[in-house]
Amino acid sequence: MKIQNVKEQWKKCEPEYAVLTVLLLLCFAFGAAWILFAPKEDFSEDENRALEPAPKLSAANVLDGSFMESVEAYVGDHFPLRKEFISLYTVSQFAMGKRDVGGNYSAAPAEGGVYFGGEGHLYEVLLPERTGTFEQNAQALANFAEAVDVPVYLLPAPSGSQEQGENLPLFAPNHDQREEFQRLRELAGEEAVVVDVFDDLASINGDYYFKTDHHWNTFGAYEAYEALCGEMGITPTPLDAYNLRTVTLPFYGTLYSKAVSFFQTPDRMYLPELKEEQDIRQYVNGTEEREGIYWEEYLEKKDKYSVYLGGNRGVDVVKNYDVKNGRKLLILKDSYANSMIPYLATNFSEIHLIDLRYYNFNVYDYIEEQGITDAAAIYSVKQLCDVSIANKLIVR
Amino acid sequence: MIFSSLIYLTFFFLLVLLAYYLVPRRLKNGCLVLFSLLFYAWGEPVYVVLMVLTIVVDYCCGLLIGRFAERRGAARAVIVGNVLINLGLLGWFKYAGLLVSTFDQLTGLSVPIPEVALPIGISFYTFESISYAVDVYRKEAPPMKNIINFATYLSFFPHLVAGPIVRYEKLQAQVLCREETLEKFTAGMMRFSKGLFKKVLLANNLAVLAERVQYMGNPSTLEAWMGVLAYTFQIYFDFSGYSDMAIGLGMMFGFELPENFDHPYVSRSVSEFWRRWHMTLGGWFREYVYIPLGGNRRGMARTVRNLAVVWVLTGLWHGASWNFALWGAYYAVLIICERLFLGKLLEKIPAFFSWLYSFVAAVVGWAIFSYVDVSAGLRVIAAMFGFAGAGTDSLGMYALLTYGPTLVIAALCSVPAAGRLAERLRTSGKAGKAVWCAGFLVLFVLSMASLVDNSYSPFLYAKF
Repeated sequence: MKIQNVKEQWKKCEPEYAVLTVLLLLCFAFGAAWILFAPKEDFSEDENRALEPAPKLSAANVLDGSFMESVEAYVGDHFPLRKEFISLYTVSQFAMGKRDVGGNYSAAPAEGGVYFGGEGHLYEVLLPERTGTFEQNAQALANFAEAVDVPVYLLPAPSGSQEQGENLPLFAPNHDQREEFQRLRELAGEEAVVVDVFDDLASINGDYYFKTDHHWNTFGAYEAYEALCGEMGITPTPLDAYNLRTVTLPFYGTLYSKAVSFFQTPDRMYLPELKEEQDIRQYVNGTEEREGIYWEEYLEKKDKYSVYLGGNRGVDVVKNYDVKNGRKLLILKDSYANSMIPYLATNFSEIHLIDLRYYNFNVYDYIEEQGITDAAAIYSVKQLCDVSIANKLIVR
Repeated sequence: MIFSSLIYLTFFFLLVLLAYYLVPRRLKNGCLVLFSLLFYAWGEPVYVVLMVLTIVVDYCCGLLIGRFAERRGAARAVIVGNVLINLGLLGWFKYAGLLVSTFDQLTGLSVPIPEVALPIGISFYTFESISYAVDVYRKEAPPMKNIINFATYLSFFPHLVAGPIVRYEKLQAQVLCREETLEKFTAGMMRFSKGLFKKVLLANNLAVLAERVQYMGNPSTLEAWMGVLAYTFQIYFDFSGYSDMAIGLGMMFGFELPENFDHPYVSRSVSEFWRRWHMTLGGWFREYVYIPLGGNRRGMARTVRNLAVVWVLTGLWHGASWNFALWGAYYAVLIICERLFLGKLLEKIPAFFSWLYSFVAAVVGWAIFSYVDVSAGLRVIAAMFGFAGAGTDSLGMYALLTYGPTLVIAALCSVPAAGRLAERLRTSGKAGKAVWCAGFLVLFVLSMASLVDNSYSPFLYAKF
């Protein structure tokens, strides 16, 4: 169209259409300019993942479509006001009456997202598992118990939403994790003791879960520790042998990351420290020695739960040089076990922690080589439903 | 690429607009073709070759049919060949898997099932290819002399991947000569935004509930209704939103694409529903299947047969799975009944009841449509009418509480009064305009928030 006609044409437009059209196109242009030129962040602490790096153009990337996927991810990851938009979305969902966010039922495994519960709690939405992963994992753990010569204890950890059902939104449906517990008990039979912490952690006894994180809190970990000791025939170290150090910086955990909003109050975190100090050391990857098991640097970061042992890796060994009973406990585990270590370390000379997701050697050889005397598997039920560890436990 | 994505809005959209309005008139169609192929290749970097081949073959066939204008036999041979090629490609890419697996099931043999990915939009552009050949053959429109112009018709990105299915005869003149005006441009942007809001704010939201009910399986009566109603409005706002975006984009380039939806859920008969739902598909089947078969002019028996053929084909067009054929057959039965006797009855009873019948018929149809597993779909329908499962359960009640407001808004937005009200507000003086603009901006910001949220994917396993 000719420039001189533009003026004529403006007059024919609906004025608000014209204004809004210009405004929207400017917004898009601003978004494009921001993505192209604004300084980039490499890592999203909220999501605990690296953000998409600048896409690399190559013929192979284009032909298999990965270039386009990378561009789309890049645009999404570096969009202006990203966190504000996401918070706004959460708030708008809440305002529309939604009481859960972040669900994706067409994913495999299906993702239920997060419930907005009472008393400032966020909860995982628990779904019946449809992929068969739990059955395989439970069978693998039972096979493990049968194959090893040391006593084996299985401790399936229920989720907060399982234990605090009365805090869930009105009528909120939730899968009952006792089904998995029963199934594990059936499969384990006589070969292993399956430790039942479902009643101990129920909310009538206290609040054993973080409000914004899926893990049990310091007190929940202690309850689980006590229950495990009971089955093992060990006297647990009493909780009042510890000072509970309050973490001062605000804690926003993993559930908050799934439901980012303006209105969430931060969580509280306590670190148990023995009143009478003991010589406890962590051997990272089995070798690199550290004093104590707390990694203080994580308290400065978003991922504060990693203060315990510095997160998860294939192998960690925790030795307590003040415990001289010679008992060596092997724990197959996910991160739920990490916060039990401050307590368990007072009962065993050595604790060998193996996270099968990152461990690629033969567990059975490890038990022989290290002279393990007791074995436990501490896993959240949800983890057993979502991630397969079965192939790492094949008896050879 | 889809319109309701950040990459489209922030990059592709602006680039194609800039390029289109900067190049001289004679290059405008070429510019559209280039961007359309880029748009297509974004999601289908390999199948874009198929798209180009289709363009070349159809273009050549069109020229031949035009040249054989006076030799009908030769022209007929070309058109038959052309249509067979197009249907053959559609058949191979879309239906081979279904046919072989069904053959295997029936015979107990194990012929390997061909694993072919479905090229995006093939169902839509194949129908447009056929429209081109037939319209040229029928001399309703001349063939395109220039392949770029033909490619503009077939690959024009606004309607390329999900319609509206534009008949060649309707678009031919516009491809050759059209006027872009600011009036159309700005109105097109508004139409596009309306579609974006429908898709992002309503359809995407309702999809979560529909999928949740599907995931849980064996619903109670309440849960079944909530799930299927969510799907009912999801698919309407998804599809009509897409059509709005396509029509709006067309306007921004000076085109006038045909309307595709006209408030289908206010229909008072199933026949009326189909005159309001995906109108361009219905129009295509009427023009190229129903009428050539004899339509309703060869006696009732032939009419019934023709309706049955058209509706089963319509069903299968929606997807290569038997539930879609069943869905088509379901509509065949209803529409034949209406043609035979039900239609007259519906005119006599109070409007509310004829509406209720039509709406429930549509909802039941979506239950068949949305469950690929036919027996699961039938179970859900049984649950809806109290023949299976409990009356209510926690998910049913929870869905009612948490999705009730969204469903009410969706229902209100699906009737013509909603649009009329917004229009009255916009044209009712300064205050009304201000409110309308504010509302528009709120919806826009929320849509952007929702799109950004889609890109947000917490990776938390490392912490478990």
